[in-house]
Amino acid sequence: MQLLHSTQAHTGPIWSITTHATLPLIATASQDKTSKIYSLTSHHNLLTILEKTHTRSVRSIAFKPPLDNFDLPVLAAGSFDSTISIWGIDEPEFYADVESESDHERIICDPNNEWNLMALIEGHENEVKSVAWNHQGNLLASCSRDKTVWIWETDQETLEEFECIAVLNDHEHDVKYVCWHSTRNILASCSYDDTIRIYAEDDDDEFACVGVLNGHEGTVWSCAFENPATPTDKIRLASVSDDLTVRVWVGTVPEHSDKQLPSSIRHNKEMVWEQECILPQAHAFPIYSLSWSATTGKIASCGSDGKIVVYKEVDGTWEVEATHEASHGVSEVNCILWGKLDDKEILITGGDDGCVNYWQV
Amino acid sequence: MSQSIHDIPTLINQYIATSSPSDDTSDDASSVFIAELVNLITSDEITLLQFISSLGKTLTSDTDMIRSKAISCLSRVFADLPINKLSRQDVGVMVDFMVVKLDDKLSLTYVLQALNSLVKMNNFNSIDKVLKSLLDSYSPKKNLAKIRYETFLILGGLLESKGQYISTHTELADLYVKAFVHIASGEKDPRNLINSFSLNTKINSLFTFDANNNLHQQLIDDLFDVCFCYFPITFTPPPNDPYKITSNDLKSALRETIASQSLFATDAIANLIEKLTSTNPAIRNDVLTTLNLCVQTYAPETVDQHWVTIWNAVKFEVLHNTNELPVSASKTIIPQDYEAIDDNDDIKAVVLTLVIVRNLLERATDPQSMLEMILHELTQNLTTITNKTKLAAIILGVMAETSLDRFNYIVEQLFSHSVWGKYLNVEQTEANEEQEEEEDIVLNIERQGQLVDNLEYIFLAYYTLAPEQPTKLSQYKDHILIFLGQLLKSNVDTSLPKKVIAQFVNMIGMANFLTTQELELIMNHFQQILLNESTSETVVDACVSGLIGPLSEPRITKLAIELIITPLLATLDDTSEIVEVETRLAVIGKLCVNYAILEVISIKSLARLSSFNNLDLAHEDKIKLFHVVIDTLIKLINQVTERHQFLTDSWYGHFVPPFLNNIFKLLGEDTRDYALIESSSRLVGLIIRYIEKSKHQAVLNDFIEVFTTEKSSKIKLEGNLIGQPSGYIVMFNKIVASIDKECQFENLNVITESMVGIVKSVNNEYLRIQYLEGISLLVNKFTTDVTSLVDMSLTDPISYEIYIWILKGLILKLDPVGLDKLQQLVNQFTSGSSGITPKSFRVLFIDIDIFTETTSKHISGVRNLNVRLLYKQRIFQIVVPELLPHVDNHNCLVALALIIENVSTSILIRYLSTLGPVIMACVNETTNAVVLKSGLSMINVVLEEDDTILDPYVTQLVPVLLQIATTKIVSGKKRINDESIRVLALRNLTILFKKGHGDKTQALNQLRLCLDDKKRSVRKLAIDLCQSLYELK
Amino acid sequence: MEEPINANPTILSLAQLPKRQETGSPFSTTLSANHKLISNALKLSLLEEEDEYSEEDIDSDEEEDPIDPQEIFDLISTISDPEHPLTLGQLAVVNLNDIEINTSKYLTEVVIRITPTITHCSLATLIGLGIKVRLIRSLPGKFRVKLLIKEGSHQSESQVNKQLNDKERVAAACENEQLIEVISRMLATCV
Repeated sequence: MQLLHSTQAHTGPIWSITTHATLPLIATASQDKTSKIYSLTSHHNLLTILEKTHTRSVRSIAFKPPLDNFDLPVLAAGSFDSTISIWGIDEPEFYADVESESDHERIICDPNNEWNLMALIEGHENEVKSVAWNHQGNLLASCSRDKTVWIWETDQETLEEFECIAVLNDHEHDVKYVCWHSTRNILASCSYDDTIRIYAEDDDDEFACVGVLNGHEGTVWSCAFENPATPTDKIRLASVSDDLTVRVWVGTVPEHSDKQLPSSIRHNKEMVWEQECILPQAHAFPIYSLSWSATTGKIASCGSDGKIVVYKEVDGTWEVEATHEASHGVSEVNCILWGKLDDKEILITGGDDGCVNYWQV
Repeated sequence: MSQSIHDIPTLINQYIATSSPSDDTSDDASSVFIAELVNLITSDEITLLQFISSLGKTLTSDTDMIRSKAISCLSRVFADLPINKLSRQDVGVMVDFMVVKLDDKLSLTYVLQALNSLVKMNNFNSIDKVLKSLLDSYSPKKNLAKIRYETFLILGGLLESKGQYISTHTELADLYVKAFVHIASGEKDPRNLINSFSLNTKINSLFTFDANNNLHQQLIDDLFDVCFCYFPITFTPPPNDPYKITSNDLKSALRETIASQSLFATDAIANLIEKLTSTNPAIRNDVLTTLNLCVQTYAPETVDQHWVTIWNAVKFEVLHNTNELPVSASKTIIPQDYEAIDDNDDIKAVVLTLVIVRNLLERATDPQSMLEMILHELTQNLTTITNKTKLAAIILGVMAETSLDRFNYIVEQLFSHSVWGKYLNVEQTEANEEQEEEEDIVLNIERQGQLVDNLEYIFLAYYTLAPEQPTKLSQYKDHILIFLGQLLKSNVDTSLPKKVIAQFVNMIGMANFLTTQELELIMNHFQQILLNESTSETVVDACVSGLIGPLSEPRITKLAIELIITPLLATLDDTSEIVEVETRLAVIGKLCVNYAILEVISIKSLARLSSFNNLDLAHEDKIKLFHVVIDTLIKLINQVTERHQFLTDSWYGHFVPPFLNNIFKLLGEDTRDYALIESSSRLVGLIIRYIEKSKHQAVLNDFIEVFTTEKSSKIKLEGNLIGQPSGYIVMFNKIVASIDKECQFENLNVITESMVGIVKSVNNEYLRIQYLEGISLLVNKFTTDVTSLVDMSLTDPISYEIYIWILKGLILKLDPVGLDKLQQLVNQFTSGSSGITPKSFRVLFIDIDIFTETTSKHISGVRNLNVRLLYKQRIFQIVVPELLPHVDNHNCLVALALIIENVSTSILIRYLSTLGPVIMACVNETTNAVVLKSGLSMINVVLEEDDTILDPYVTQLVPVLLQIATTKIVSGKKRINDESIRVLALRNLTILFKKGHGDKTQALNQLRLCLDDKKRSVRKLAIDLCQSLYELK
Repeated sequence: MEEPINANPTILSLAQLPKRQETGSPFSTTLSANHKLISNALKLSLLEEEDEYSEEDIDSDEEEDPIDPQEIFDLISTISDPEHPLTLGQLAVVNLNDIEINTSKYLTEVVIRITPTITHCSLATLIGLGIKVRLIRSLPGKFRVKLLIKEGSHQSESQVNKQLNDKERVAAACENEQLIEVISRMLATCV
């Protein structure tokens, strides 16, 4: 594993990073109350700074999956100030004439684009700790120290209205992280109460908790769904925790129940989840983040010990493929992400030193 | 009668026109007219009547303003009139006029002021009228503090001028009191309260009240209520109080009032005692202080009447106390400055109570019965030792110190068999033979300790009384000595021995108490403690520090030398363990408080040195042992001379020769043990400086012979040090340096020359420098004709070096030739002539001990240094201004740095204003630590003195300092910014930021680098700086 | 202020607190004494031209004073208790023996066990936070601080421990003005 590039993006720690599904864009969230957007190209140039909006740390940031290849990029940022900001760009001049994706890319990635605050979502009582978009980009999930997970629905055209369609308060303590399945509307949340919870729409199309994953012996900091090339009826989820373990869980898909039956006799089917395995221990201090590669199926994790660890599954058993110590000097590493740079898959990390580091694996 | 030439009505109208409605009459224009009027009346140019009639209708005008001003005019005239001016009738008339006006709201102030002036007048005799009208037609509640104030003045004035008269006319007195109570009731204003209290006090001291007279009983009650209702007075003055009244003023004024009237006693004491239940220490202390004042001032019979009540109320303050009494330096139970104890401190209540008890005893008409009762009450606390015993003992102690009889009585009771006697096995008197046989009188360690401690309070009482004759206590001292002695042996843990020692020490110090035999007994105890290997360190310390006090007393010194010092010194013989010797010497050293003891020690140490010499030990170990002994002796000589200087003439004969011979024997020709030579030289030098001045010439001659010739004398040195290089040059230098400067140095030139010779030949750097110092010293102290010496040759470095040292010797005494040469040197240096190294200036400016070591005000009359006061300042003035313009020249910069490194800030300060550029040049230095360092130290001085000098540079300075503190500046293979430099940089930064310079956030980030510094001192400073920066944010 | 929760704790006098023992033998060995004399003399030699100021600088790699438990103790024992006018050292909330340092290749872990003045001390979290902030500000980046309530000294040990060692919560707390206000008052006594 070797360092390709390092960007001193912030003076304060970086809490979270996100990359755009189709465009070469990467965005950061930092304790210095700002977010920055860089081009995810070998130039690594700064496109814009999103500031003067949040009064406390920006804790979590996420690009909306685009509707189509010409959809304009949209960002959601959740902050300790209990609000969530939605950012986007005005349609640039001549945008109508854009034919090729490359033009699109060029125009969008132009540093002269104006990024504006499109909406500021209020609702949580206190610190927002994570935000996540579903695969269609019409649902935004957020979680907070107020122990709740909220799901907001929005009109993708305007992105001005965000209507809360669910408040899920199954957790007993603050909820650290939320993430959606990459193809289904299944949501996972992990918490200070050491559990992970899975939510799906019940037969009344109401989101409800359909599974609890017990096993971790410390705060669960983050989790990620597998995104296999060929979908199976099994869904896998990986999670990292204060207890220094990375665990993989497996659950069965709830088959769609027969709509003919009157609701009175329908019964809500819960998903069945169980722990599949614990990955070989490689961290000496709490693990804060992981990422599960869609292309290679590898898992990468990082945390307080400044170590990056890559695990690979070899016929059913996981082994440590590579590790890298002191990946941000003496600093803790808060987030890790598989991404693409010039069509090569790379790892991207963000640390307390305010740097974004790009790694070749 | 002559017609007035002045137009009174005009004056009056002008007054009315000009006087300000506000009544601060001090300096408004109107004063002149008043003065005019007063003049006219005093000089009889107009009569009061004329004056009044001219005021005429204005006095009765319906316009409030006019009327009140008219009256104010009147009252101000009265105020300034001589008090003997107005006739009895005039005064009468005016009083009548005024009292009628008492209902004139707007004029009231002036009316009262007028009355106030009137009552002071000689011809005033309408006391009752004034008082009555105040009672009837004036109501304090309706009026402002300012106006109420006037009424207090009136009553005050009355008492002043007519006090005697009133006090002798009961009905007037009663009336007066009524009036006073009337105006004082419900008062809230602090200034008025002060007056109210002091009037109340005056009344109580001036008037006599008959307790059996109902009216008087009533008046007394009123007087009491009108003051006590304020107790305890809690008042904090407003920030801008014009009268500067403190809550203490009020407290004590009130206290005095309460204590000023014995007839208050019953009510006062009852109420005070009831307030004693408060949980607030401040209030309790207020109560007790007040009670104490009452006890001191109430009539004896009143005290007799109430002491039981008071005792019963206050005793618990002591008996339930758990805190330690404050230790008083002056062997007393009650610390002399007890009033200074903070009022919120619980212990104050205890002390105050003790004071009260003492005063009760001293005021009571029959103290004996009080004593007996209290004693009886405390007995059960005493007979069996408990935690309560101490408190009882304290009370006894306080009572005992009030008189010798009481002391004796208490001692007799306390040490009787039934009380403490049984523990000290005092034999019973037949009287109570039979009783309490079965009682168990064995004490456990804790109880023994308490008993020992409690003895102290009796001893302290003894100290206070300082009796000339033996007291009852003498009868028991054998028992006490034996008892303590046994405890000392019997016991294991350290706390008890320490307690015993403390009491032994107390006993030693008690005047006319112990006989010499008894003192010896105690000394022997101490001797055993100190000699016993197994005694714990803390006990030894207790013993030593206890002894130090009494030791200075001659007869104790004598005993101590015989029974403690000598035996201790003897123990040196049975060890040659360096650490052992050192610790034993340390103990002995602590006891060395005067010359007698020092002499004993010196003789013994000397003997020990020679025995070390003969022992079969490693050379290295002998050296160390010598060091220990010598360093101790130096320390002790200074320790003793600090208390009392003495002459060492005898030492020169008895001590110095054998001492030096021992050194020579140990070191022989081989003199590489420079450190030992160094410190033994310091010792000899010290001794020489205390030899009587007249003997110095002889001493000098002796040593010249010893060190420069082969002649043998009492001091046997193989070879001499002008023949070939020798380490003993150091000793020679130190000795010559200590010799009085008026002595003559035989064949100086020969010796100087041969020393020069050695400098040129010797290849040992250290020795060369020592010889150079020697030359410098001789030139400085003894050379008269210098011209021959001072031609500088730059051709040959060694002669140049010699030249510099000669120059040093000269400028130290501000020799004019020397100063010229210095001037030349600098000029050549700045003009860049080669061969002159910057380092020369360090040599010229540095302090070396042969030019600094002296002792102020020798009784020996010796003045050994030939160094002129402020010489450094002079040469600084010659050199530095020349260098300053050349700071861009690196050599000059280094020279400056080396100079600044060696001058005190007091000299620098005068040049601060010119140092700005130098400082910046220095701190930007990256190759030379000295330069960098003196740059930083200059900054430090500047910041302390006058930081405006740096203002132009601050913006560059802060980053540079941060750089120095946080990064590694390397030149060649060496790190330039060593620990001390980084520390200096951080210190300066701290000051700069305190003064509000610099960018905090930037600094905070950069300073994080220091958190990783290798050196703890640097980390600490950086962290503290960060912390203060966070606070600034 | 309302009645403190623990009105009379047992208090250590400043003298009782553990201090760094100054090293240095009872008397300097004669060798080093000699050395010092000589180097002082050489300072004055005008012939020693080579490497002119060598006496001034110490060998370029300074001997390191490692950060030890005593140093950590000195950092936090001076923090004052939020409800008593006393320091955590005096109240024996922090004790030298309860500070442990584990060094590994890249990181150094400090484990501190604090003893609240009484078992239901609601201020344990605040005190802990104070210590955290103090150390975050004072220790190099390679340090990882773990705060634990000493076993059996507090009713809700585990909750408090979990909170104090939750990076995110500490960070959030540090963005809370009022809280930082209180804490900086606690830290004011550290300088």
